[in-house]
Amino acid sequence: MTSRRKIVWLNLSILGILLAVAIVVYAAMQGPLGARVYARTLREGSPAERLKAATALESFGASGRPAVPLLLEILQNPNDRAAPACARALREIDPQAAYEYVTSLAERKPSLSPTVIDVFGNLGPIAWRAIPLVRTALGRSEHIRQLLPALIDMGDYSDEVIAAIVADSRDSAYSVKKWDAMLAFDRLSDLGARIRPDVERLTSDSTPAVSGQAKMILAKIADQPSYPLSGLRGFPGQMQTYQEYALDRLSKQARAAEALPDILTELHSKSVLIRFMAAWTLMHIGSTVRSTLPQLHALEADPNSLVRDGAADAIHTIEASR
Amino acid sequence: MKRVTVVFWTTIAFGFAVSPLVAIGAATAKGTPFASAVSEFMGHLFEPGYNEFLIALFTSLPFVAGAVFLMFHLAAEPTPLGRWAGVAGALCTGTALALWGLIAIRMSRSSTASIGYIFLPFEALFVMPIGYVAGRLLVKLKPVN
Repeated sequence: MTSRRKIVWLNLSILGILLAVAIVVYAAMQGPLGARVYARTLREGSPAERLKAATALESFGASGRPAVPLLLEILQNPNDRAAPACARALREIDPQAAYEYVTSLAERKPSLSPTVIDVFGNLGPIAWRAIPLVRTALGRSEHIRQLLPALIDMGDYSDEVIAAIVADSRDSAYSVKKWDAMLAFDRLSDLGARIRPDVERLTSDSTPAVSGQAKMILAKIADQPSYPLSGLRGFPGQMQTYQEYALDRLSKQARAAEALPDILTELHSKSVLIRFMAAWTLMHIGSTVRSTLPQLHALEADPNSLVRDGAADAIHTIEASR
Repeated sequence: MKRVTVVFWTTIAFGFAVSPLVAIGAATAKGTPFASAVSEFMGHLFEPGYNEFLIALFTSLPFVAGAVFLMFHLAAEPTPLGRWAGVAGALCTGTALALWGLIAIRMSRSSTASIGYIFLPFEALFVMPIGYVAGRLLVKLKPVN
């Protein structure tokens, strides 16, 4: 080989090594190493950096486990400004740890500041057993913007919540409270007939923004396709965030029983969160899915208490609803 | 050969640097102080939703391909002037397109503008041979005094 050729191949080899290093660095930063870096930012960064780090940790999934101890440490003060984002990250990284955390937090009965309510809301369905505690804030005179979205995220579609939304929507002036009520109605459009009369009343509201939004929600209610024709069909084959989204939507739909085969598939998911959410969805559907009781009983032997407790509550609800 | 090696590594270095330079430049043009723009960029290197490192790596691909090509193409001794002109033409068109594309994406207000990052390297790879031919033609058609 001539010296010229040697130089060419030497340079190309160095380039190859550099490209390989770049790819390895990128891949490493998407895994536990990246989680450690963001955990350090979460500990030492400015308030804005901490918030960004917590938000970034959400996307790590199970590979973000090195950050769990720090997330739990921050969550010990649920009024920390980064706590809501940490709660969401914890839920995505380690749902079981998130469940144990929310159980202990609810037992402490913290004062329900907007940040604490946000923490419960960001834990979502995992915090379903804290619903009675968070619901106590509905009785307060002041409007808490975080409250209704948090309760909806936790899976509280009760008459009490709908009554609170209706009361907010009746605000005489066009206010933040009124608009928040419209957003809450929008999020609950899957409930269909349960909210239709209230939304219909709002179509004649004097504020064009409110009446227009009400008409859009009514159109959503009217155009709700059956499960086989909806975009949710076959959701167990999609990415995890979409599976969470689909189960959340099905938990509100009266005709969600059409999706039963897919929900049952999710009871056997590898993901703890999805197994739990499938049981949680069945709990919301209620009596029409009585045939799923054997599968739910099987979940009572799950190694994770989140799934076991979710299944137990689903069984109790289904058996109680006749 | 020394000159070819310098051009080879300069091309690769430029390929990796062009996206960060445009990102920092665009942020500065929008009013962010230079130091903040740099630290913001560093913070976004691996951050989900930004992935500046991946964008820089992806944007550099046509330049890496161009560098490998020039390493072989200009290795002959003596190297004809036409080859140098062709390589210069290819790099200039690649640079112009990458700069235009990156600036357009960074300054765009469209929520889907970043899809352009996927297409940009392929577009650059497409125009570089055109630039190469143009460079060679320029030398060929240049009147000899």
